[in-house]
Amino acid sequence: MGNDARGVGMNIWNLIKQSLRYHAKSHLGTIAGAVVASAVLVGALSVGDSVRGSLKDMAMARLGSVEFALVANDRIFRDSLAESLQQDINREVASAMVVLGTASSGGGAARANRVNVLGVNDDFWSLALEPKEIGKIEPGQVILNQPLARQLNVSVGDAVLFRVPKPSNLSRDAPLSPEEDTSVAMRLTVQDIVADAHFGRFSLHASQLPPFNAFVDRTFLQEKIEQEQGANLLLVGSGNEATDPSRLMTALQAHWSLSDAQLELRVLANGEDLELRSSRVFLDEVIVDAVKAAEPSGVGVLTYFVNSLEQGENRNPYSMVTAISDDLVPAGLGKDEIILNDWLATDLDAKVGDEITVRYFGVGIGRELLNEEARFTVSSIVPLAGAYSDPELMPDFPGLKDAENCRDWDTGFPIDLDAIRDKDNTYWEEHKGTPKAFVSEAAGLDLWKNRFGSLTAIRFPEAQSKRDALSATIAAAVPPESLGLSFYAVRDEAMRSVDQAQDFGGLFISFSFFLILAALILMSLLFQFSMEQRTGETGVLMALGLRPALVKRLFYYEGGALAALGALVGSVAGVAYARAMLYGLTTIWSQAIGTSAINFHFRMGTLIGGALGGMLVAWFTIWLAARKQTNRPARELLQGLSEVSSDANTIGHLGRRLGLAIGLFGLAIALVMAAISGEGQNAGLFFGAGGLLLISGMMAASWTIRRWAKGAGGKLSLIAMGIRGSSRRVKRSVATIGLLACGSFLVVSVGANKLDAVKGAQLRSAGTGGFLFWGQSTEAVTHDLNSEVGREFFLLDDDSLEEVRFVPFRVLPGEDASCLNLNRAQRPRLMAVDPSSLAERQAFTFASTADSTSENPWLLLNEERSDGAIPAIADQNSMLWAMGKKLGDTIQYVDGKGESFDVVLVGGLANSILQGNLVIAEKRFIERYPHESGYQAFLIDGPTELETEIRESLGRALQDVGLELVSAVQRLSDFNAVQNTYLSTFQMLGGLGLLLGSVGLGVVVLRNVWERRSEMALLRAMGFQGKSLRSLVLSEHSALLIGGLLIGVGAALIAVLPALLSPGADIPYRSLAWTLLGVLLSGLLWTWIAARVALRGKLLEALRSE
Amino acid sequence: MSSVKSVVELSDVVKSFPKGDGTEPVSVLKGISLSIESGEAVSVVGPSGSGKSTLLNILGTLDQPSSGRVTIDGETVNELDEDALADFRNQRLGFVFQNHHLLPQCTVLENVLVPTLASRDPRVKESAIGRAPELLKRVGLDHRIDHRPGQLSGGECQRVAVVRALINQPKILLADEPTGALDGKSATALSELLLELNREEGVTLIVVTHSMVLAEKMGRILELQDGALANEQA
Repeated sequence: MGNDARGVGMNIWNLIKQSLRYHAKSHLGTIAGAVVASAVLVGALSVGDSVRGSLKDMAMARLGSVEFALVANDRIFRDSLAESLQQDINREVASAMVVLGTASSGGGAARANRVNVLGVNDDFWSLALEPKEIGKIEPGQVILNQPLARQLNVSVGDAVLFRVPKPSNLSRDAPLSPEEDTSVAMRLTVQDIVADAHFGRFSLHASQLPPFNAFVDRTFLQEKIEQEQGANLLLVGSGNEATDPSRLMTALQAHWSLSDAQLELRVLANGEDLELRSSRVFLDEVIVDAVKAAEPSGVGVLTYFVNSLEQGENRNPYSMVTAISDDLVPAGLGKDEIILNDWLATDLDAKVGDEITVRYFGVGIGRELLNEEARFTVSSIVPLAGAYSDPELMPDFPGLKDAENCRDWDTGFPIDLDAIRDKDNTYWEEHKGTPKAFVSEAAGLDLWKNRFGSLTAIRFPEAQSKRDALSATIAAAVPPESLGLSFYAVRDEAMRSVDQAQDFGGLFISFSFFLILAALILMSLLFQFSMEQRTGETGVLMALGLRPALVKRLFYYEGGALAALGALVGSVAGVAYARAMLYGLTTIWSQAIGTSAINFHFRMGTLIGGALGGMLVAWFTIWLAARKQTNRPARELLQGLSEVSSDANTIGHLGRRLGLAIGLFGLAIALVMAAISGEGQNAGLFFGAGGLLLISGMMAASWTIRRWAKGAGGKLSLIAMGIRGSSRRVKRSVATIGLLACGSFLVVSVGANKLDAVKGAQLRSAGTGGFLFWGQSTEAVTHDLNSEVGREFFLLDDDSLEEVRFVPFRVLPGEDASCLNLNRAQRPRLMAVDPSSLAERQAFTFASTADSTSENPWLLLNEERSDGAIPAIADQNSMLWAMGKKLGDTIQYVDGKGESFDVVLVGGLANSILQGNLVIAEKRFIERYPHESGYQAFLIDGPTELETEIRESLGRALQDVGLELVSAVQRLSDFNAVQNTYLSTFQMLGGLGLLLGSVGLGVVVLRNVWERRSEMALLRAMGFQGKSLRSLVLSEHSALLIGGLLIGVGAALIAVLPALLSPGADIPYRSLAWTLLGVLLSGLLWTWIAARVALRGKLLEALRSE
Repeated sequence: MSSVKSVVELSDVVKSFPKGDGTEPVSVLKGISLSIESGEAVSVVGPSGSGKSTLLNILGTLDQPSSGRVTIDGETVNELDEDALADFRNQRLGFVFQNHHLLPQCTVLENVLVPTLASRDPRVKESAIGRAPELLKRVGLDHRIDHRPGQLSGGECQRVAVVRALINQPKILLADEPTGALDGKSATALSELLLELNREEGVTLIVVTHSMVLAEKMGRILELQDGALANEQA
């Protein structure tokens, strides 16, 4: 450039560039602060991206290209529907038969419960994310997914024993449902093991935990479970043209036939009449209503198996009685009249006008049998011939229809074989289930209509000629929706689950909040320090006529450049931070997410957004610091005046400050007293008291420091002088105390909220509900395990089981809505219980209820609501976080008839083992899902000292239903582990923030001493040794450090007093003590280093320059 | 004299500072009235605490009087707002402080051009870029144009500060103890330079100093005693 000044010019960018270059060293600290803030932001957001991205990967793997699914639950349709549909909609469609079973290998050495056994064909594999040529699965062979192969410890060629239930047409809850031969065992050879991407992970439920899947040939499975050509799952792949469930339903309807509704229209023996009947025995009420509306000529038939027909002392055991409204009974037959066939009349010695008592089992809740009876008067006696000799009036009761002999009956309830006489057996052999008596349809419906249906058949007289038309009419009248069969947009649901999943980005930002804050405060301190070195520069710029706004701009831009540079470096460091956090999440914190399959996902948008966010936050902090400096008059800046004068002006209202501190302290004590005297421990009041104490402590510290500033003090000593030195910069000192107090308050109060499932676990009010075990069975248990019959059936006769009691739950499969599922559950699993069983035990503690006056909130489940919604209770944490709901909110479900209904939240349980589910009353569940049979979840009571024996006995006895037992304490611990891990993460990152805050203390020391170098020089000139000066500095700042920590910890101890005293608290005393000690030592170290740095060199020169 | 226009007019200027405890404010200037004419070289002397620097700050528009009227170059400056005052300082006043306050990060030439940052007029910037080397040559620093303040002696820095003060061709040059931080030789050289500029450029020079040697070199000496003009020597 030489002397050619024309090439130079001077503009603000030039000046900023020069300033940045010249002050580079002193800016390093500022940049470091911005780096930390940006890195933490970018890192936290990237963790969020990674979790979401991994969940999306998992969703893609589990669904492949499947967009829509139709799940039939307990219904079965033709597997060929898939091919028919595929031709219409031009998309890949696959049908499958899915049953839940158990698997074992190595002679039972390794077991897996809740295994999805899927009968599939080639179409299924083509829907995988990465379709692989699997080829046909040979009969007798099985393909496992990797988690199941690992669980069973098997590889290709090994044998695995499966046990799967045979889907029952008649609900297993129905009294006549057989108990024998309900499942089938299959010894299969492992043909292949498929990876997640090849549909190994196939599942319709969102969870980061992979399912256990076993794939077999569809036809093979159909044969094994006796459901030839049946399927219960339809999967529709993606296509070029958009579609929706309603269009798919229209297409499905076009191919919908009676057999898909498990209906049959058959010609009766007379060759003229047609009869509609169902392999499910009873015709659902919805079907009856629809068919009768579509074809009014239909005649309802309800044939019921009664235990006895009695007249006086005469008794006829086990007969069929038919309720019908056609010619078989005269139109005027009263509801209390009965027609007997002559065989029965003879047997009972009955004549017209006699009273007949009919005894039968009514259908109760579950498999419960209700002994009921009805009295009739004999209206007429008809010959056992013609229309009255029609064995087809008996429906296809499984266990009866193929029995040659009464002794072969498998009725599912106890038959008194001794009561069956030879002539009864002869009647059965000759006439099978031909009814012996007839009542009116109205009388039959009154007595025997049940939740499984209202009729056993509908007859169409002389309709044979129009069979096809009638068949079409009925199929149209009973569309799949009416049976609860609908397509769901599973891919959309999956994406919603991922989109609404736990926001780990936000979570980690809040975990790292204190770290970010500490970095920003440190950065602000450093930038202010650097600005203070440039006071004269600021003043001269103003004196030279640069407008204050321009001078401000110069510093803002300079700060902006620092923030930008920090953000740039920080964004790179953020990626490393994210990887470190992910490593933590998949290793030491893996209990928070329950999987190690979270991979790093990079999104440029996040990087840029995070870096911009970090830059703006850093810039704002710098702006605040620079604004303070540039708002001062040029005159002051030129004279190098510090802010002491302005601080000194604020010490006037000492009395008010002390008054406020005492007032807040008093209020805190009052809150504590109120909390102690109230019923129970009110955690909110304690936390409020802790918060007030924190503020009161800081006010008191402020008062003390300001009092020192006024000169009031005790004996003069070096240490006392040092401590009083903190009054030189009152605001700075109070800010230092405040930062340390708030930080330690947060770390201690958060840490103390860790939960321990073991403490007080035996109490009914505990999160375990006082239960010993939580059990889940693969196959539904239809018996009442508390009853003698149930215990006998499962041979629960071990001594250790004598005091064992069960609270059974019916389960509608759904998504796990607990904190263990990272996805947002769209349809949480529905569980149904008899509310009184929990109310009597006063099990669990309610965190919230919709009706605070309710004596026992469990009984709220029985409430009949005017809006028709079904009351539900959920775990409070599940409700708030996993479902994103609150009391009064509703969740929509579709019932077994395809009708939508609302479940309304009326209660929240405090941290319980029922997390993840919605609990409703069993009665309501049965009304909505009459065909869902049995219980699949259990809370089990028993003596704690027999835990091991009970586990072994129950496990052995209920092995066939795949009962999986986990101790209630363990289950609660698993849930608690999530919260505890989050708290540990917060504690660790908060502790890091505090450590960074203690570095800030070092900067404060450096600034304080730097400003007072001449004062220190004077002391040196007066003969003080360097060591004495360092003691002076150390004592001043140690007072701030210790004061801050004491205020914070003291206030936190009051805030978390309920947690400290609670039986379930697991206070990590050791890690908290180490954290606080680390902060104290780090603070002292940085103070010492800062004092050494500031006091080194030729101190006396400071005196001369003054 | 009466034909020469007054460039500075102070009329009954009072400056007092409030005390922190709310008692009576402290009066630093007690009704100063004075007039300085264009091209004059004036020194302000007085003991510490007499109000010299406060007077200079008011003359330099860095501070406002509590009462009274201040007219500089025909402008009543106590009626101007902050931005207008900044512009006023930039165009009409030049400052030389006891400490040179050069920006350590900028070269000599850049330091000299710093006042031009305030101007939005490119012609002003252009002419300043042309004038800067000449002025630096005049103070004997043309060979130091690319040096940074850290590479200069105290006297040289102060000469750069003088050039910086003159770059916008101000009417008045205010100097606050300009030789206070210099050795005897440098102090003499700087005072000669200031007087030379006063004579040759016609810039009005107002110097606040403790040094009677420097004060006596000025054409007029104003003595402040306890906030009031005690004596005036021509």
